[in-house]
Amino acid sequence: MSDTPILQVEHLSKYFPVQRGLFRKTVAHVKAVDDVTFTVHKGECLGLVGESGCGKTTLARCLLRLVEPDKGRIVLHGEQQALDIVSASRKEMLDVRRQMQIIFQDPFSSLDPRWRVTDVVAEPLIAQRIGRAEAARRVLELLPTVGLGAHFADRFPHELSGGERQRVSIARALIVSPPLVVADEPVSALDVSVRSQIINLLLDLQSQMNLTYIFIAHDLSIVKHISHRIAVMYLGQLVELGTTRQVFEQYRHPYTKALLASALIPDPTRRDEGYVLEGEVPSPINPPSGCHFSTRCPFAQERCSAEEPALRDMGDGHWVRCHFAEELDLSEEIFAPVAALG
Amino acid sequence: MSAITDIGRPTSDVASTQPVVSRGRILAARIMANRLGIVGIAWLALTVSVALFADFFAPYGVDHVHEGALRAPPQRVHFFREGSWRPSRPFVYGYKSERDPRTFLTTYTEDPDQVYPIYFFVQREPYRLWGLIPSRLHFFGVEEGGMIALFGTGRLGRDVLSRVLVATRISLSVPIIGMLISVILGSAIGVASGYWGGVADILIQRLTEVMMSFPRIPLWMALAATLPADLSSLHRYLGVTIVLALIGWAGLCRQIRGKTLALKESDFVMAGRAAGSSTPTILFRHLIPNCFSHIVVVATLSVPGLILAEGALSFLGIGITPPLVSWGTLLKDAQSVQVLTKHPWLLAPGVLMVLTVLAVNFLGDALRDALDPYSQIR
Amino acid sequence: MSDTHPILEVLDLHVHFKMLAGMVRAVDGVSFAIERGRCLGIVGESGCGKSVTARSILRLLPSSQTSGQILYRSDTDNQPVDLVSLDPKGNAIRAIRGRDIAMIFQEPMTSLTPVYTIGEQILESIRQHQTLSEDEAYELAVSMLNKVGIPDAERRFGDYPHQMSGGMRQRVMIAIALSCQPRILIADEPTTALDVTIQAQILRLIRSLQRDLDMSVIMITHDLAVIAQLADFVVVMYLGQMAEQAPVVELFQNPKHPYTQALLRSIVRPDTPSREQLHSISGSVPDPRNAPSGCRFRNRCPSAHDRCVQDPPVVTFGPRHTATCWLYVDEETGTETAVFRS
Repeated sequence: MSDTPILQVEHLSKYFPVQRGLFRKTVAHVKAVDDVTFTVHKGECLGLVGESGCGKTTLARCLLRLVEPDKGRIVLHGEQQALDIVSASRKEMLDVRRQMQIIFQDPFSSLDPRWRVTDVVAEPLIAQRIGRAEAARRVLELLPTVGLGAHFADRFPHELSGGERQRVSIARALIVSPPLVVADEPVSALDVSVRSQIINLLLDLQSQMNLTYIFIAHDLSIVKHISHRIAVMYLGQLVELGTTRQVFEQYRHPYTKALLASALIPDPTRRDEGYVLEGEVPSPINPPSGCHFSTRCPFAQERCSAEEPALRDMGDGHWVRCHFAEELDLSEEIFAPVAALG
Repeated sequence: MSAITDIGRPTSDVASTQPVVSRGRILAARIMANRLGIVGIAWLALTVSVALFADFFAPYGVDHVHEGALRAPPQRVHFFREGSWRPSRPFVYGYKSERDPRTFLTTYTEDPDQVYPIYFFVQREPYRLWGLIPSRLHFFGVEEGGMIALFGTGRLGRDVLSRVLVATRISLSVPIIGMLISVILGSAIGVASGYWGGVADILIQRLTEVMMSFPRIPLWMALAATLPADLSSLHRYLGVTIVLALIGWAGLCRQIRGKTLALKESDFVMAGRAAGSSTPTILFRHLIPNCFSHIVVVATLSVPGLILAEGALSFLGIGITPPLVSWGTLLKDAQSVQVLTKHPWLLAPGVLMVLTVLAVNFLGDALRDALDPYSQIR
Repeated sequence: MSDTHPILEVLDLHVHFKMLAGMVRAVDGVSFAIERGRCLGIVGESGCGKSVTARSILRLLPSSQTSGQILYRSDTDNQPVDLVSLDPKGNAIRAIRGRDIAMIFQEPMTSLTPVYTIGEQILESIRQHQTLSEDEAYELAVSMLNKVGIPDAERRFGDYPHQMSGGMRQRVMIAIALSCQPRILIADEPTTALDVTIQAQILRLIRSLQRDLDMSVIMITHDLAVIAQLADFVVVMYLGQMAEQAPVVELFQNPKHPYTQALLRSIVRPDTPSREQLHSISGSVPDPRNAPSGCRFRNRCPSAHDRCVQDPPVVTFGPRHTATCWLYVDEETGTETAVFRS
């Protein structure tokens, strides 16, 4: 891990129009990704956590321009030169695809049911204009690396289990040896007993192939396990960004605290230790004014709903989007205690 | 690194226990479970093979005229000679005609003196199979000089059975070729419209809506009427096929567009784009193959409409014209009420049309049920 | 067994489905009991038969071949009813469904009818099992919605399911399920589709309602953390067979079946050293149509042995703690080793 940036995301935004009526008039926007800025360093694993609807999947898709971003820059520091993905030409995009790949969440829907494993894995190679024979040879070379025997090459996805499919999906991402891989919830659709296999595989591959990961998940324990740094998203915005230690132990944002407290502890002797965050995630169509978290935050003050806080550097690369990040004492039992409910 | 080899260990021992039932087998089993579907398939297989070898199955050529047997009723096949209990080679009797002195109508009865035994694989009238292979072989026939008309004869004394069999060729090929053209048009336009969206999509969708809101028969008639009258019979055949296809694609296009819209957002298409695949690859290798089962069902269910349309146009005289024969042109002979009461055998092509339409519908329903992911048979 | 009769007892339950590839033994010889006012957790991965077991309690699988006994005692002194002997479409089971035993599912959107308001749906369920006047039914419906934590229940009464968030819909489902004060609530992965913070809310809600209404809960999940937080007693299932059952603390502290042990080791805990290899179970869950003979876990089991091709015995380790495994039977004498005897 180094401090050399491999990807710089600057003020990235994606608004989806909400259209109503006969003439598809745009009545509002869903701010799926709202002014997101962060940097990924070479060789690290950056975890991205948040609840559903927080925009983490849209962010991942924007990074690869599978969804066209509306604003901002995504600078990829490639092997030869740096280039802005948002404004890249078609030819440049092909180069981006060679350097940056994605692993999808659902191994059942992300493989074309009518393609054999060889064809699925070879797809990025074929797109890079590499001959079929050469592509097939490289696929056979790569399959053992992801833990699949050569006999899998001729199988169809429906003949594979979830874990095997996810290995195929990983092989497809790695076939062009990209330095940067975006993993969009790669284990959340898998069986418990298979999850740790895939996590182990991702860890191994990272050290073997010098990969950089952007690892998206809603499961905090897994993100904590695999990431060097973690970014927390809420309603399209980054609310906290820092090293795993900073985010898990020295968190400065009330939402981070709430998220950590909501995670269930897999230990029956430690029941009722967590605290429950009240309320629902507000609709991203009309997010609360000011700080988006102000409606659920136990510390919210007048200023919070009036003025939108900026993502501020607290030192040591620890960024927090909260007006009162310095003052709040988050160690106290701030949220509604469990006893009040049951 | 030992951990790596452990993780990298192929999971083959477990994978080999994954399900072994192929999609094809499941599909076949689901179709076989549908009785009506089987009936449909059997009937269509029969009709198609008859159509392919119509000249062989037909005892006579389309224009062979039986002198003195105009609108003669179907002959019965007999197995026993008169007064004998020993079965003999199947045979038919010739006709004895009588003219009603008041109505001038001729009535035909069996003439026990004329016995024509039926022989199989006989050398009779010459023909060219598929226009290429010269042959004289017919499936069955009677001795030269005799006559056999199992479906009776028509207005000019031509054998109805032979004409119906030969007509099968046109009556099946027009809808099938028309369907293929409309499938190619409809799925190409539908996939493109769904994938790109935007202005093109809106224009295409409005066009299909306009096409679909015209009443069909008048539109067909209008288009068929634009075919020049002096067109040769063969060109006319092609023209009719294209007219039918031009109207049929709209419905398919809409369905395929809907399917594309759904598939376009699917993860594997997203993954294809992330892999860097070009748009043609996405369209032709991801989208269309995954729409295929849908296309097959919609296409199959569109065939009955085309069969009926060809029949209707030809019946009205603006479809297929002589010397080509289709079920529709044959039904022209059955236009009067008199036919129903006195010469019902002239309706044979109509009966065949009904049976074939039913069969295709059965097949289509069976396919739809078989391809339904929520089907109970797994 | 305890002195009081359990409210529900499942004895040697087999549920088989006929499929193209042969007979699928979805549930194969499962026995357990649920006590009054307690929470039973059934945990397992995909294809383990946990959902099939739950659905067969309500006889919701008419096309299956079910054998064994499911004894339900509505009151302590009552004669038990064998639910397996009831006609799955008959009146007897219909009277039990909803009124005595209610069920909530993973995806609340598909369990609610989109064309009726949530108020109408809850009223319908009340009227089906109780004879109440219009006003009484309305009062009850509103009070149920309040009880499950839907704010402003009278106003939300006229809302359609699509107007609510996932968490709110799950609350509505719970309100419907509880409106007739069932003796048993079966919850089939009720929080899997929900966010972390919402999941914590719903689990707390189920627990407090269980206490308030003195209800028995069957919690079906793949998530050991949910089990740890909610269950009193746990049944671990693997591919239709029962691997182990034990009181929750006993199971987490002293697991006996290799599968349970591996599952517990593979979960990421707060104190798991970060970025190190996780314990994992090799391979993946086989398709139920091709389950191995004998012990179904044997092709993934680290302690697998020749004996495992035969059906494993049920070994008792303590009060209500059993595991179905050959490991604890002495190879030569055939007697159970290290076995608790009361």
